Amino acid sequence: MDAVIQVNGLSKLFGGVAAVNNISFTVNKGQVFGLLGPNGSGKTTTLSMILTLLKPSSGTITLFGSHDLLAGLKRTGVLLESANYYPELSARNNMLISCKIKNVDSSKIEPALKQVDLWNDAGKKIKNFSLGMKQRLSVASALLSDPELLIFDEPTNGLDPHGIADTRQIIKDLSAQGKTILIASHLLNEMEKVCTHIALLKNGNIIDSGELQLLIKGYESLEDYFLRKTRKQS
Amino acid sequence: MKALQIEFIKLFRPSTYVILAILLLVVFIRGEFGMHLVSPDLTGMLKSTDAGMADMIGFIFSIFVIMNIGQEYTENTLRRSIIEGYTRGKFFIGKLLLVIVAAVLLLLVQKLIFLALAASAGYTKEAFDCLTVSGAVYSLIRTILYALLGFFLIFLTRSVAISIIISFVWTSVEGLLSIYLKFKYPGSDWGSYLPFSSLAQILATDGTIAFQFVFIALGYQVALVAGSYGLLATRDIK
Repeated sequence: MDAVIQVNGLSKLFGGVAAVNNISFTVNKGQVFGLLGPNGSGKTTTLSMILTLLKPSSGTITLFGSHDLLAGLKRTGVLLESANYYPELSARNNMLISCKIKNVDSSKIEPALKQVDLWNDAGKKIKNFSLGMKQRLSVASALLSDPELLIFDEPTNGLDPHGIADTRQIIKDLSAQGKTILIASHLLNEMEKVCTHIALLKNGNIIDSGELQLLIKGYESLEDYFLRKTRKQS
Repeated sequence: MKALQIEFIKLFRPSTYVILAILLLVVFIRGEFGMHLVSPDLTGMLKSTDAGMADMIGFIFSIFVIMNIGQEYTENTLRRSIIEGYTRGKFFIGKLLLVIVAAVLLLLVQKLIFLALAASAGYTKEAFDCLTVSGAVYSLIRTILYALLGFFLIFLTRSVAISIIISFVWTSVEGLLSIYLKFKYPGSDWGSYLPFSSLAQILATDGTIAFQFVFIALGYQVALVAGSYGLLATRDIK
């Protein structure tokens, strides 16, 4: 299997306290890999190190087999819990900035916005967008460069049931196209529906990882597995 | 150039135009006020008015720089740029180029306003005589130093309010420090080597440039750029 993301012995200390403690995992091509864990377990810190926002205290990360994470990020689409756009700029101008950063031709903006049903709102300022619209714009932006890897952080937080269903369908469609996906979330029902593999995080440590169906064998559901595993650890 | 193009796209927001309008209004008022001062030395009055207008640009421009970069932190757009594969280096170069290009354009506009006001007061020929290359270089160095101070402060504090307050009191603190150095080291002139004090030494009254102080000012600018980049490159973005 081709490793798309490899994390080895990764740690992050904040003021001497380990938010992530010596974790290792591999996401292979075509997998939908879920980082599960309660709030404060280190999911977002781990993603932030992969996304180069935080510098690891120790350990290594490779994307597409290379330590050059910035080069890897150009082949990656990212959808964060909070969509961070320039609020005073239009959706079109925000997408134009993304195109310039990713070296993508601006002619791709129109099909990308049409795909998420935002073309009619392309000239509208982001500050006038609803949360669901911002999330759809994030999807359009993440898919602009036809990325091989997608990283989602709590992609359904704050969305209404339609938004959640739409996001789930997008993840399933991308997975069917053979894309590799890494998702951090604590919404177990959603993760059970889309993930092929998971790593269970607690207090900055990975307490279990592997193929989802094998891990939850003998449990009623992913939620049952999660609750029993995390309670056992505490 | 792509980094600069990205920065120009980001300027399409109301706050840019509000600050620009305030800046030009203040410069206009300062110029209009200067033109109507009664002075036996017309050339001196015009030079002082031109320098005063350029000073206003430097100070307000530093606030623009602080707000422009500060918004990248408060709106988490710097975070977004990084995860889309934009390097911290390119982000920094984009902002730096914007500062230099904007400083040049603003000073050109300032000179045009100065000439227009002088013409309306009947001093067209005298105003043209006042505009010298050495004066323009001095104004540019001063404006960029103000902007780079804003640059450094916002990367250091990541707070628009704190950075603006520090830049407000900076020249006062420098004045006090200059007095302190005079008392501490009588006979020496250490105070004139402080950032803005050294700037004041660049242009002699006869219009010649003291290159020693140009190098000092450039040294401060290099130090501020290096310090700002160091802060951006080495710190986490949460």
